[in-house]
Amino acid sequence: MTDVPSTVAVTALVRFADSAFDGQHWHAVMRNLGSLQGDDWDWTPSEGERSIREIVRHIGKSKLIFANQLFGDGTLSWDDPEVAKPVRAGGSVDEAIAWLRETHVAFRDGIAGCTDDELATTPTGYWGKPTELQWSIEVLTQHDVYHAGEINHIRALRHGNDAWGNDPAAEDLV
Amino acid sequence: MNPQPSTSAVGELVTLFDHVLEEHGFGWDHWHSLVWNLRNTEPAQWTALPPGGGRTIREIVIHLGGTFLMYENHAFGDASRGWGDYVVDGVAPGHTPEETTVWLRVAHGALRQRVAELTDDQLGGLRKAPWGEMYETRRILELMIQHPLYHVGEINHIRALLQGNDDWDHQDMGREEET
Repeated sequence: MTDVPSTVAVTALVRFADSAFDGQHWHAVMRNLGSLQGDDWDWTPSEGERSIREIVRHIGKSKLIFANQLFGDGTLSWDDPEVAKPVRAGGSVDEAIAWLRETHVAFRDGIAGCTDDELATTPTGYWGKPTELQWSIEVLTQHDVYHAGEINHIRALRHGNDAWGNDPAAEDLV
Repeated sequence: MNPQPSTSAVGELVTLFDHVLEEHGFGWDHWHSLVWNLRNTEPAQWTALPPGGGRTIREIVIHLGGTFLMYENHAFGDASRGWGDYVVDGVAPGHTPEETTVWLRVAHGALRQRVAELTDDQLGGLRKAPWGEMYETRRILELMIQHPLYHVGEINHIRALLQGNDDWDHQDMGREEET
């Protein structure tokens, strides 16, 4: 009988990726998007250049690239129209969110298809440098929460309530 | 002889928690870490506010170090520490960015040591959050990993507004200096 490969560490990473994107914590991307009003999406603060929509587009594009480069055929590039100009990301809020959710599914399903042993392998990503798979997964999972923080800061400036405890997503801390 | 308990999942979480503070990787991926983002901030910007802003970078850093200490003490210790009790092993946040960063490292290390002592079968056990409710250990650890990264994003946005370079390149400032 062949031993079933361990997926304990992979399961932890999948859980973490899902949590960062759409978990119960107030750091999750979707929770922070849920705190927005429609016209917040295209607003930029004084001295700022990036809108929340641009950050959402960046999050989704990164998921597509990483999913393809780490778990797919590695042919997708930043210049590919699907990545360079994702039409749905520029549509209505509902459409942009649906697109973003699809990009997340592509990434998280790729992680879920791995075994723990594969985490130490070093696929060559779009950056052309062999990189430990675990690190690449980590980076893109961190990426979600990092940009969720940026989204929150833009929202807070937009709503004029940049203070502790004014995050409408923070109904509970855990 | 009993087999050693598995620590695969804990090992992943410790790695994630380490990289929250500082990443030493393959040269380009560390733009989410606390120390990297603080390095890109000028000292005067620690206490400055962008137009319409209400929280400084220094306030966010102290908030983060404080949560490390609170979770260490309430989830793993005797739950005696209070919010605002920032001293750990005789080290306080201090006044300068350098002093505060040293303290931040000590606070991170205190919680990191507790996490590293866990085994996988303890991740489902209940531990106390600072406000007294009990939660699964893995959920508390997830929070302690995500929470700093979220605020690092805020730090980057404050820095970008203060420096007038809110673009996709400047979150990675200085990378080329290391290569």
